[in-house]
Amino acid sequence: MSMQWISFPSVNPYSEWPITFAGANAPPGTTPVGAFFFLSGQFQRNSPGMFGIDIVLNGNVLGTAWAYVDATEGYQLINEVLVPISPIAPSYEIGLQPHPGPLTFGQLTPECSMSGTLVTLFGPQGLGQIQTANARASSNPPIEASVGIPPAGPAIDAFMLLSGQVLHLQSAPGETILQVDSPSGSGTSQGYAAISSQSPMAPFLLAAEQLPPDGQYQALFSTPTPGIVGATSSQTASVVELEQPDR
Amino acid sequence: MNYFKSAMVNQQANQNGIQTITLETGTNSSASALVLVSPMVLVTAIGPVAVDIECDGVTWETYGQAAETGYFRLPAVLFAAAPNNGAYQLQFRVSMTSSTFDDSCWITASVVELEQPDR
Repeated sequence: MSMQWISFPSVNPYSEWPITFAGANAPPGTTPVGAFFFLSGQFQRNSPGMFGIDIVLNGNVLGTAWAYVDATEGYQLINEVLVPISPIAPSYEIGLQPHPGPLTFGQLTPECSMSGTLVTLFGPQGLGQIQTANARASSNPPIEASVGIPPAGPAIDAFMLLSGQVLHLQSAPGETILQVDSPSGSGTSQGYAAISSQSPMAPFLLAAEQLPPDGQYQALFSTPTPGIVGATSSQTASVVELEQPDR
Repeated sequence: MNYFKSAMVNQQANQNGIQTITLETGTNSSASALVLVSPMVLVTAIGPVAVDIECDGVTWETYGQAAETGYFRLPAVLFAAAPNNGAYQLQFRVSMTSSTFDDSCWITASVVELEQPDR
């Protein structure tokens, strides 16, 4: 038995939306058992506030990448996310659009940069399936993102993608850290920020060490450096779960 | 059974030019791997910024717009890598001259391996 990841990277800094991602060709003897999409990039900010970019497939919003905007001009990185793709198809036309709301804090322009990667998991028929989910942290401490996956079968293993921002409070520009603790593991990412500014932290992957039986995952965000994660920042956790094959 | 193995490197760059880091998971049976990288560079002129990331002889690019000079984290890149006995070497190179790595820049890289199932 074997499985294989295949990814299709695409950087389209000047293209117009939507972006089309080609599907994967299954290796002999395998079928696709699941797929997910990774989004990373920048948008153009125009006023302070929370801004989200919806990832859309066939008119349905798959998930949202968030960021808090603390300046009125320039570009802002979104929090990276993994979103599930369903149903699995030969190709996908994935659209990006501002998350609807009463106010707009940014826009997607031709100068903006977006990178997308489509990852497909292949396996022999009946080997199992992959499920994904993502959640944005609550706006008040404790900053905790809970990701729930409806069980279709007993989970074998999982990994989490974690990303977010930290509001830097040191009296001088300097190093900023985002720390994540969860039953699945812990880790930190480094960044650099100016005085009293939002700094996007580098995202990272954590493999789950022990799985809860109910498909529920928690990530607790904090910063050991002088800074704040809270209402004026955004943290995101995404989970990819591999489940037992059908019996 | 345990299919997913991960390793993470959070490394400070140490000189101008090419940066090389290695991710090690300590395994030798992975079927394939997923690598996530996120470099930070020092921007000396506003405008487009790009960094090339080479792994397994394949080059991936991350690209962004810097609205001001100073430290700038580029959009992250996710890509698949071939099994490599639990060691993955990544080489970074600034591909536009308006930015550089110096000893205050940071590179975060993670790998998740999908291991062969038990037989």
